[in-house]
Amino acid sequence: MPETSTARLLEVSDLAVHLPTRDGVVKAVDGISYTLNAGETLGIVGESGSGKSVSCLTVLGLINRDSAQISGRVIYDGSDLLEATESELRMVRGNEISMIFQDPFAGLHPLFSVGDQLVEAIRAHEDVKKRVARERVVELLHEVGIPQAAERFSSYPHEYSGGMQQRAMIAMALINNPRILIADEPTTALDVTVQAQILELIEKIKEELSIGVILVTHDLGVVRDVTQNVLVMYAGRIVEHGSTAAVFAEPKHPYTWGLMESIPLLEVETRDLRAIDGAPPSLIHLPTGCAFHPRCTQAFEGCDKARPELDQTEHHQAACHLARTDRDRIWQERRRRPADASR
Amino acid sequence: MAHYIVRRLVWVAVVLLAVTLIVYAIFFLLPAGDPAVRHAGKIPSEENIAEVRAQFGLDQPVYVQYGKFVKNFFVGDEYGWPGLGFSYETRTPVRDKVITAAPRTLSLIAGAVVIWLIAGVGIGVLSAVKRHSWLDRLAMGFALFGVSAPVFWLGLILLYVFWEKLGWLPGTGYVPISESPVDWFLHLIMPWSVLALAFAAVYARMTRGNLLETMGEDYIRTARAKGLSERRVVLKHGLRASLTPIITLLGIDMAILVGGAVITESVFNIQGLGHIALTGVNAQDLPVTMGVIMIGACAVVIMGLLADIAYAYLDPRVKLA
Ligand SMILES: Nc1ncnc2c1ncn2[C@@H]1O[C@H](COP(=O)(O)OP(=O)(O)OP(=O)(O)O)[C@@H](O)[C@H]1O
Ligand SMILES: [Mg+2]
Repeated sequence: MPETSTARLLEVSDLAVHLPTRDGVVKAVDGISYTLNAGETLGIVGESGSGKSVSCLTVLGLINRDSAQISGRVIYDGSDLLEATESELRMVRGNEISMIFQDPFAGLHPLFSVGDQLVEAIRAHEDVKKRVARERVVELLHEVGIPQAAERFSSYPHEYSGGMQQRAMIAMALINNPRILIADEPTTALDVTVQAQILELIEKIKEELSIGVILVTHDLGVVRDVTQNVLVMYAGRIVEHGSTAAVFAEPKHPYTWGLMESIPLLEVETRDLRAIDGAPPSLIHLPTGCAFHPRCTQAFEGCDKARPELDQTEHHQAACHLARTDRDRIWQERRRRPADASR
Repeated sequence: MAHYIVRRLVWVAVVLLAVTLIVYAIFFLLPAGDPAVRHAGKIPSEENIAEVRAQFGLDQPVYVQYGKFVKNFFVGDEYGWPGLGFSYETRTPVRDKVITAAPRTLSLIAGAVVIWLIAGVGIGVLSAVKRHSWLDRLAMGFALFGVSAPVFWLGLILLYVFWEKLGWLPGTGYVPISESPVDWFLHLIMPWSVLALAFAAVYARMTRGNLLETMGEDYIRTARAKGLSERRVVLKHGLRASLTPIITLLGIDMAILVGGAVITESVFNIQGLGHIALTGVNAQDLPVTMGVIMIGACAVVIMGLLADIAYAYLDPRVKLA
């Protein structure tokens, strides 16, 4: 069967990552499932500490497997990456699935030239001459928008600007033509103007190469602009999951409402921006029932008893005890009313 | 760069000058007896003493003696450059003593450095990679032993076992490499090992600590995400970043040993610079003491300069200015 642009690239099911620490077991990721198709950008949003990074790192086996308790399945190319040996994972990393990180400066080795670091990425997977690899690197650096790429090849990371560092990281991730790009907050450390450029670059690459992109971000505006599907994570779990259009049109989880009200989005005509009250819970001692209930404006009796599962609809799911009809009604009221009136 | 080096060399001269001042001050201010009396024979007459005093130049004011010493050191005296004067005790030029002793000390240092670098870094990497394993504990136990074992005790034990009991190695003394490379080597194995042990221990701990810290850096995660083997991640990306501070420290450690390997040199009767310094001090032989101190000080400041240059070379973020 020829691969179509909607070929399923990655299938994550019931992924849980528990990290033992001195104070107890951190349930960083606690049973998440999603799929990623070719040509799709999947957004993952959630507050700091909700398990976004850990879930992404686990896909590539970059969480220390000796100390972490990892369960579930991560099916790529017909096999489970969680069961893969270290050398099998090595073939996948940077070759079929690549990852870029939040802080490009910290992510580049300070003592090697940028060009050499990219050449190394090629030669980790392919037996090519240094000279040939170098040509490919210069070409790709040029493509990702680094001016004077040939001269810049031998520069060190500290001689690059922040935006250029992230472009170099993107080039490093793409150099072996991967099928999946995982971008963990790729723009958080950058200036606002540069942020837009980097996101555009990722978009362009996704379109041209028809790869699957997982984009982790804090920024719902970014999610709306560039993703097709979105996962909203809270305390290691998915609380809402659906097509970006549906989630933005009718968010179904009180946590998502809070996120939307905390940022300036045109659709949400609340007069004031409000942060969600309270802080994310400890992942060692999670609240009983729904982990969000202590902060939830809509919490009622029973929210602290059972843990809500994602409801079983195909395209747009949320994990909340409120009846679906109630949720729709409450959101409609909330978005019309001024912020403080709904408190 | 050239600018930087010239400025640093001027600084080197200033430091050396300060060293001479301090040593002169100590020698003349602390009551230690009159060297002329000490070196004028068993039962010296007034004339003998005066004669010796004149011969040593001690009849001149201190500042004249000092000025002469400084001048000779920088431009040389009748025995050549650097002018280090004349030993009170043996009545021979100090420069000759230093030239005889220097290759001995340098041989000792060179071999010890090779051993302690290989052993220290090797052990450090192993215990960092196998953190908390029995291997790590064993290595760190060794490191504790290494820093705390007294050099003379260790030296004597080695001599007893490998020379006296087993007869595998020659005993004390030194054979120049030009005479017999094999004997040179055999004579130095034990001194090298003894001298290297404490440093190997320190370097092992340092390598382990640096490497563990480096392995937590983001760029290590990037290296793994590229699909590099763990071996390459550790030995190239991790070690490269961990070694920079170690290499720069190496220069200073080597320099200190130029006049500072006294115990090892004494236990194995190597008669290097440290040994000369010791006899010089014991005999209140100011020129000899000064000579070795000056050579040692030169080594320290020059190796310090080289360490800084090496640092700038090893870390592209560092700019010499
Ligand atoms: N190696 C680790 N050992 C123990 N706990 C960890 C480890 N890595 C992450 N955690 C914890 O797991 C939780 C999830 O972390 P994660 O980095 O995935 O959050 P995140 O959603 O990416 O947050 P941010 O938006 O700040 O990047 C956090 O509470 C974090 O403290
Ligand atoms: Mg994160």
